[in-house]
Amino acid sequence: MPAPSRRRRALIAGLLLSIHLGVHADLDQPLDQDTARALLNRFGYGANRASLDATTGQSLRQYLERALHAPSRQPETIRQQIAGFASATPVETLWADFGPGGVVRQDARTTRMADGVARNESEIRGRQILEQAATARLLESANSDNPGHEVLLNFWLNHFSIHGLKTLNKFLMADYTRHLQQALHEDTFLALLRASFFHPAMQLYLDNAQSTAPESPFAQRASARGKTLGLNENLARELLELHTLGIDSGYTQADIQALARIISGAGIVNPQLPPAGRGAQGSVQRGLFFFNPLRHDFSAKTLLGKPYPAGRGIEEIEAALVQLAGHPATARHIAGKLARRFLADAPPPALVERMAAGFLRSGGKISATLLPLLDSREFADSLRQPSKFKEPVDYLLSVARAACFDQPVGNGPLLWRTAQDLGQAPFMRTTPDGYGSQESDWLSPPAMAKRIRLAQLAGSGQAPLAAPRDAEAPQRCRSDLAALRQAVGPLPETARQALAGLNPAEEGAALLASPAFMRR
Amino acid sequence: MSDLNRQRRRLLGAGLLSAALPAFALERPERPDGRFIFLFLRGGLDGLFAFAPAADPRLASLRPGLAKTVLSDGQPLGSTGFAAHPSCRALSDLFARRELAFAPCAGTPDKSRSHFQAQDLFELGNGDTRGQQGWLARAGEAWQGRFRLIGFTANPPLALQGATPPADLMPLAGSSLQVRQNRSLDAIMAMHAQQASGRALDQAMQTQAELDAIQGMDARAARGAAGINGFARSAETMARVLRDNPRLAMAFLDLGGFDTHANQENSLGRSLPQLGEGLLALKTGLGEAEWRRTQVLICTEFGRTVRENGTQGTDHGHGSLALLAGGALRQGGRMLGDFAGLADSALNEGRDLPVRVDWRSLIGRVLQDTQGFPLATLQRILPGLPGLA
Repeated sequence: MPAPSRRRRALIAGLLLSIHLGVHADLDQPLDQDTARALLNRFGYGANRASLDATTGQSLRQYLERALHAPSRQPETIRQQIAGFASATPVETLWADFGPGGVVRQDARTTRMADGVARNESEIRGRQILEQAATARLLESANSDNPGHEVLLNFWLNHFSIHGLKTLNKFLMADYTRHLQQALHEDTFLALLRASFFHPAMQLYLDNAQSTAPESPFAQRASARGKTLGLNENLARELLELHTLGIDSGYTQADIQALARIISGAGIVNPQLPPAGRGAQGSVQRGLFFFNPLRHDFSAKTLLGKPYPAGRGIEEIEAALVQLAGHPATARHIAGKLARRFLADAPPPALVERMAAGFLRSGGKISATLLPLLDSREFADSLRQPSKFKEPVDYLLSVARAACFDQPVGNGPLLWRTAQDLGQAPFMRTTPDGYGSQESDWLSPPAMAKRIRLAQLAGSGQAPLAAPRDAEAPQRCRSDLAALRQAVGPLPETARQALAGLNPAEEGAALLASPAFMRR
Repeated sequence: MSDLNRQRRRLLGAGLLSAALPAFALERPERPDGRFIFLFLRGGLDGLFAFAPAADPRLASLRPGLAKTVLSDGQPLGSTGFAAHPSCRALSDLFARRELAFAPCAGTPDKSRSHFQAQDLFELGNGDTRGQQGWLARAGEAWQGRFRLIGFTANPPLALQGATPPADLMPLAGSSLQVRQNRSLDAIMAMHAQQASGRALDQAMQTQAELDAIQGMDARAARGAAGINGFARSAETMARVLRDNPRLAMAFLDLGGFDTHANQENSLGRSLPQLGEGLLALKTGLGEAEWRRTQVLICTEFGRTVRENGTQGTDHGHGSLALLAGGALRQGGRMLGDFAGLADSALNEGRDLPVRVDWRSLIGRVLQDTQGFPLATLQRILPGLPGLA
């Protein structure tokens, strides 16, 4: 497009924009292309041709509905690639091989190499499977026909963050993702909380699978053999601090200890347990999650002022999750976190209050929490002037989608390596707080250098984003400048001046590295 | 000299980079009295495991599993009544040489026992859990550009945030930061000018030039060395960068992997030797003269429960171990602050070590010894400073 006409068009757009300022689009108004593009950056992973076409003309309400309730579909080549990963193996099969008492370990024991070799073999396979689960997550996020769904799923995976490298979690991350995805379709916070809590990966990650009430039969038997077993506060603390109420919300060390007792006995299926332990009255198995009443504390407790009578097993865990999910502090915590992810680093407190009220009124519906945000003037204004510094994965995927505008982004291994290098690979956050979403978390000199390098490679068409190295298909996307301009959208006057005189490869790189495209 | 550096010198000759030049780039024979390296162990190190009060008769019953090794094979730390776990052999050797001191009950007033809140409190250094500027950033600003501050991390930790100019960052892991010097870069820098992203980009280009200029530096050698497990290796790189840049007066590095709720003997048994070997690598890499003017302060956000929990680990506590290392320590071979024993009445809420040495007074002491800051400056850097340790 010749520069003068672009400039004229931007001028007209600017005039229209100034007329529209202050009038926020309501939830049911069809989105124009620029707003759709801004929404895809904010609430998706950037625009490619298909998503831009599909989102233009939709309303905000439709977009959110679709994100929560519609399936997320992949292009056939991507679907096939992921289906071929070992991480797509049913989790029960993986567990039979690599879980407690699994075949791989037993085989190794017969080779009399201690269990060092077995651990190594299991470790190597585990890392491959984890890598594939993370690669699948990036491929799905990059290529889904429902980008809003992928963003919400990744938000909750990060809220209930798990480090995939910890022990057996290497085999569980694809299954964990599937469980949170199913819960997301239910559209309540409680469903997501339950999905994460009752997943073996969370039980392993925060050590609850080992936590045992000191008075329980299990601990007593161990004690007779000279082994001391007892409680572990890790999951109980993070349930309160990170998953539900949030820090500074008034719970005490006594509440943490009470919750640790309530959730004692929750853990993982372990075929090495004596049969009596597996079939005890009150035991509950859900997939690979296992509640063992012989480890549980059946005494009476008080959690946040609410009495929990003696004698209850897994029912009191369910009750505690309901109590925590419905707590007003949880509503504020979740509303604030969603507002910081989807609006601004410092969202207006009044808006967060409205979102929290939506959460409480609806019994913790995600949609009811997000609608006040989407319906706000601040949100409409922010789509015209995006201020959020893209997180590394937001940036990586939006660059890839722009560079492969009309094609799938098929090079999963490249996405995985780059996400690792940028510091935000899926399932690799070691601490349970998840990755941050603030500018101060991510804007740094090394991060800028890495982004520019990525933009220079992708914008000039040199990054092999289309297919992995061993594939028969061409590795590079057919990028062209018109497509990149479509993906990036109109730039401010100062940026356009800086681009004057560049050749197409240079302009492509500069567009993807522009300040506007680094924000969402 | 690398290509990029040569190119930079050329630009310098043309006067193109002079305005944006980092202070440490142009070496003049000027340097502060000493150098401060701050090492932050994230996750809450169990100090009682590393340096245990072996003389306290209650230890064995409070920690029937976790104290076993130190009670049988620990290395006594002078006449302090403490002994070092065998995994801390390098540390106890340094102590014997008077190149290490330890405070068994250091920390902040944190009551939350939350990693994230306690780390914020520690790194802000203003006695609050909220703020925009870390204590190390304020310490860097106190030099007003004469000397510099460097973080060996990919992203600025809170301790370094809010510094003007931004702290130099040199990640010891990951890919190189080389961008292509072409017309697209000129356009990109023009578009980002006057923005936070532009200042970060300028800084990155300058730091890269410095990194490339270091003789014999193999960036790949340090790749993938994140966390405590690669510390011994990354310490060599760190030492080389610091040795070749005397104007880097203060440095920050953080290491993760100390949140040991379960099977602590295994995980600390692996990571504590790394810590000791890393310190030795730093000492060797810096060389005798530099080591004598260096002080390394090692802290963590909180200590852990005095009693071991039911899973051979420990849960979040309060007072914690702090270590001070260096070639010419006044306090070398000594214990800092007192220790009141492990009786319930001496513990914080009956479960954790109390805090007897305020973290600001440790930091303030090292800042005074190495940077020569007067008390008024220290009080600006560390509001509420209760005195020097």
